[in-house]
Amino acid sequence: MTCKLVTPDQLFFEGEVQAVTLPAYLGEIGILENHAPLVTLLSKGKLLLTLKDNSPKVYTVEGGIAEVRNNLVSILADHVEA
Amino acid sequence: MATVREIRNQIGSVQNIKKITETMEKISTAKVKKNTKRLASSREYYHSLIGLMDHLIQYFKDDGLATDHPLIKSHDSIANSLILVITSNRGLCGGYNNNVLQLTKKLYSTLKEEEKAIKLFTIGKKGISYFQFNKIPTDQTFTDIDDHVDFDRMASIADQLSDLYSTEKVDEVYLVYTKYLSGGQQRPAVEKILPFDVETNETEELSEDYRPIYLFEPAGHEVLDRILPVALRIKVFNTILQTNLSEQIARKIAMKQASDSAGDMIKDLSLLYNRARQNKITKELIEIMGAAKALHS
Repeated sequence: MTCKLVTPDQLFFEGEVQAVTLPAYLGEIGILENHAPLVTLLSKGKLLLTLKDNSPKVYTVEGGIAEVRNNLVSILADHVEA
Repeated sequence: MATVREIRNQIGSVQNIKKITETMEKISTAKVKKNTKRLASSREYYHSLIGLMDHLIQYFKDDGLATDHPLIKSHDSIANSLILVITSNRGLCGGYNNNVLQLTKKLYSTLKEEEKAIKLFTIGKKGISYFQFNKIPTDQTFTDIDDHVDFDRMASIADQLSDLYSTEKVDEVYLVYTKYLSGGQQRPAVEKILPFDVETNETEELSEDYRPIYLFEPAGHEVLDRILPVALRIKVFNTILQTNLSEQIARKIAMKQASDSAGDMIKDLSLLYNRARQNKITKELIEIMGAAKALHS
């Protein structure tokens, strides 16, 4: 599963991941391989990426939108802090 | 014929000008690099968002949800147009501003012929003074938009456009800017940004048999409400980045040409200077020899 984290000025992350936990509109959502297509607004919170080697990567995101489709998780955030 | 001293002064001032244009060329080269990077890093977001928007619009097409959205739906009568022109704050960039303004003028008179009321928003001092000179009234002007412009600033302008459109104060919005095609090619372009064009935006096909059934959080139309203004913001932001980059490229080329012709001029003037100097020496020699001869006899 591929994950992409971008803001209007910068590409923060792009690569293979095992799992994504993101702060969706109604609460945290965990996304694994073959997740159903999903579009959600983001609220403020922690974004956790679990990489292929099981190491975690954490960002703070605020506002934006995320799309899951075809094993591609696109996170279009308004603001991101690494 | 100019005296030796006059020519020497002339060479000096041309050399000074050349120094300035060379420096400006170097600055522009650095800025081109910086702006190219900025454009590239915003491209990812731009494509993802526009792609997602296209998916959603197609997804909602059958429900009529998308076509009824205030930013997509065209108004019944189109009487008020808005043109947003992007020019630069500074000159010395060749035909860059002029090209955009000529195109704007053409669009302006076409719309006038269709008897539409036109609102004009101008970014950049060069555009502002052009419209002032030609006595074309502008409704809003922005002079704080340059290389350092951030997303939030452009977002506020884009939101203003969304507001004007959804409250039906204007019925269509055009953007006139300089499109960046590649490092060697930029050209002025007109783009209609509102209402959102649903038909021509299909960058990525959704084949008939594969149509994802999305889960939405919150409900689909709320997501659409939220994403369309954002799409407009990023579109305007991307346009500004392209325009800024094109401006720097235009300035770089203009300054390079200026430095080159200054170099040619110095060459010609040096030739003239040496000839004048030689003439002067020859003349002095003749005078001295003439005087010596007169003394002899």
